[in-house]
Amino acid sequence: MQKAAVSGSGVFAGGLKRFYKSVGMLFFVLVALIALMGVINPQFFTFINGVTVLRQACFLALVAAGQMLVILTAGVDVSLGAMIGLCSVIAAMVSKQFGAVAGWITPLLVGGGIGLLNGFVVGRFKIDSFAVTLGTMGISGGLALIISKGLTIYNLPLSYQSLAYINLGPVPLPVLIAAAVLVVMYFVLYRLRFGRYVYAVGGNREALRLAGVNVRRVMLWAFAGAGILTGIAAAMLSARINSGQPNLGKSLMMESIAACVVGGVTFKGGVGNLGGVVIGVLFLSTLSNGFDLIGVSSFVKEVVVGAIIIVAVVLDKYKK
Amino acid sequence: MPAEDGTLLSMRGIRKAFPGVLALDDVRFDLRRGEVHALVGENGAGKSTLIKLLAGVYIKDQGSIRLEGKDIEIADPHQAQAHGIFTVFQEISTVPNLSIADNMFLGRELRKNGLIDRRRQIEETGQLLASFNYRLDPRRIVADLNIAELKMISIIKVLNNEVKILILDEPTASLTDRESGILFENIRKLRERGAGVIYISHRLEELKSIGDRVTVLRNGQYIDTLQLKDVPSIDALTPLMIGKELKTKFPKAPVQVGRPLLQVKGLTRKGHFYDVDLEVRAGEVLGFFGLVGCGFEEIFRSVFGAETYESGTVAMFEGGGFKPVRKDSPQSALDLKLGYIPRDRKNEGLIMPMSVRENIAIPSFRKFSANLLGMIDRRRLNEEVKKYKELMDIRTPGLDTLVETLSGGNQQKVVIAKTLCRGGSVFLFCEPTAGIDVGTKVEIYQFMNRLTSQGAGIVLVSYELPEIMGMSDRIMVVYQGRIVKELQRAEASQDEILKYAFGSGDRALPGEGN
Repeated sequence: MQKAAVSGSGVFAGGLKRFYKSVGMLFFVLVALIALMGVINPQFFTFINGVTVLRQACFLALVAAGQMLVILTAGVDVSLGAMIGLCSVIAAMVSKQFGAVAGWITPLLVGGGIGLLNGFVVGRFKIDSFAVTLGTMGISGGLALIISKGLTIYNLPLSYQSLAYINLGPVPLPVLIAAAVLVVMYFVLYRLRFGRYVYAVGGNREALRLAGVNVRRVMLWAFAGAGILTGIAAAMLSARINSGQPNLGKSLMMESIAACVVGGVTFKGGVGNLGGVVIGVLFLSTLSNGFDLIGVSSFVKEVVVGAIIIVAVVLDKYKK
Repeated sequence: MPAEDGTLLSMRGIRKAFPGVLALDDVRFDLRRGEVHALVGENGAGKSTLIKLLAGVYIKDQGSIRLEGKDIEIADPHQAQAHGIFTVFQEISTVPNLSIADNMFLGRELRKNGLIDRRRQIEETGQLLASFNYRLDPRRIVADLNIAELKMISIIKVLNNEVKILILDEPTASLTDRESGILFENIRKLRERGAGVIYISHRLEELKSIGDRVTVLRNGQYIDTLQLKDVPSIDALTPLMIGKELKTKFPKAPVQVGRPLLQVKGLTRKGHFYDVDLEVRAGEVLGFFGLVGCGFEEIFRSVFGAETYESGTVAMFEGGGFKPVRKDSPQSALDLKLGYIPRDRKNEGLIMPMSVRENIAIPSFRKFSANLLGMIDRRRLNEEVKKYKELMDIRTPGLDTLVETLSGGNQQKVVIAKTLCRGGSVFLFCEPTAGIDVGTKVEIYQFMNRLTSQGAGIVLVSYELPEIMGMSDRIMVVYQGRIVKELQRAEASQDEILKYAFGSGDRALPGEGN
């Protein structure tokens, strides 16, 4: 397999061909999975179920896109899951006080703030991002429990849930939002200077520094971006259950890492493209939807996601 | 054939190739019992490769190694040691966060009831050190030792084995006299026991005092073996080490020297370099020569801001006057038009998983995205990149090709192209032709000519004397972190440069050491 394709430089030329080369196999695996699901349970192929899959996928898509930013810099952000709970709790309280719109925007600020903290510490002190985000994972999770006293916060303004339940034609708003964010993300990653620096930090941090680029600032905004994207997901998840839950979205941390590695984003950094991550997200969402239809418990799902991470990393190693 | 003539080791027809380089070609080497046999040659002559074959670090492609009359194969370091071949490398390999005693017993820990017997390890290490008349607390953490102490630990660790052949790579480079004394004392003991010693050193006086024979390598080839007592002075070895093929490969063009562009004053980082003063003028190539470990790479890494320094100033002539280059800031250096072509392409120059296009453009991204969002003007970027790709004649299937798939020579051209694309008036070329094929070398030299003809100043840092002599207008020789001599192109001779590089010039040697 040509490695050129995976580098993310694909935007510059021959997009489709490169896309096929880098994620083609995964694409077929996804198609095979969908076919298999359809055979096992014909309900899978209904339109309603298709929308359900996308509805589930859109939260993961946002968090995975954020995770991708961090993994591209050769790091990992394990705080993204706990961050959702904290965002959810704060958003719930804010919306009760200041109305739905404030409650939708707050999670972006909370997520972005924690992301900035992650990015600052990782960039400034050159510390392993795993350790730093593990710390903020603990802090976020703990704060969420303290603020909410460990309880779900109910009685949000009724309009708050509209973020999750409005449909435009047949398409739910969250799906549209996620799609729009992915388009922006594509633009940021491939057309903006910042996006190319993100790839370059992961490819060779020292070479980028010697090219006169402020590497700390790149790290800062990569983590902040991950936080903001996760904040959007938190707002939509809270709206969907119309409450603030301290433990909301915890599984998305691991699933976001899984979506990235399945989609060809390597832990070494600097390698991977957005298309791959999107397919990785669809793959995981299809799988989980299939499990629901077949009646497999969500506990088993967690085991499977863990196994998928390991298999994907091993496969990636042998691709070379 | 049994070795009745006292031959301990005999290597014949040794060949070893690395991608792009033939490191050893039909090399022979002999070692007798009780002999100290010196190995000399320029940097890159193949000395290190030869001893690494014996140590099992590399595996030979061709040739035979006979030990005590028997053909042997050395596939890994364990086999080498099983044959009694022990090496003290230039780079020291210890585990820094463990104690001296733990390092001594690494991999063969003393046990008691299944647990490591720390107490006995410490005791035995203490006794061992004492038997070498060397006093150090075995409980000390290796990371806290200085280089000389570290080196002695490595030497003592090796000497604690049944050594048949001892290989020493620049052993005294960082040792004090007392420590060197201990080493030489033990070399004598080994000789009396009938062991052999292979000794690589740039310190030729030292060789004469303890060595018996010397073998000269050049460009991976065997040149000659001489009795050291027949070698009147160091100068006698120089022609053998350098060869005669000088200057022809270097298309040096005459230059018009203009005003000073880069000024460095009193640059110092203790233990690395001291009081470096220099000035680079428009149109000239200022060559820097020294032996491995002389510290000139650190000097220019610090000038550019890749590394730090403790005192001194760096200034660039830009926009009508000298402006200080901020310490530790490659960005400041680049903004003031000081470009840096690093020696280490892989780790400092290129972003391997990215395309040729982006590698060339990345230092200049601001130029192509001068808007609020930082959106890249891809058409402008493409035009510029193409221009430099053609200028440097980079041979690549396309601009989207990943740099990691290019040859070393083309990768180096990418590094130069990206520096040029950013723009500069002074360029620091650190070993620009290391590991590059001859054809590309000449292209790079011609390119340097072109830059100087356009009024740029160039610093050429290189371990290759022919290159330095062939391309420089002025030559500065560095020894132990200091500029010890400046020579004009016309007056520079190999012998004189080497004399200063070996530290035996007329200048008093610095006392600090490092």
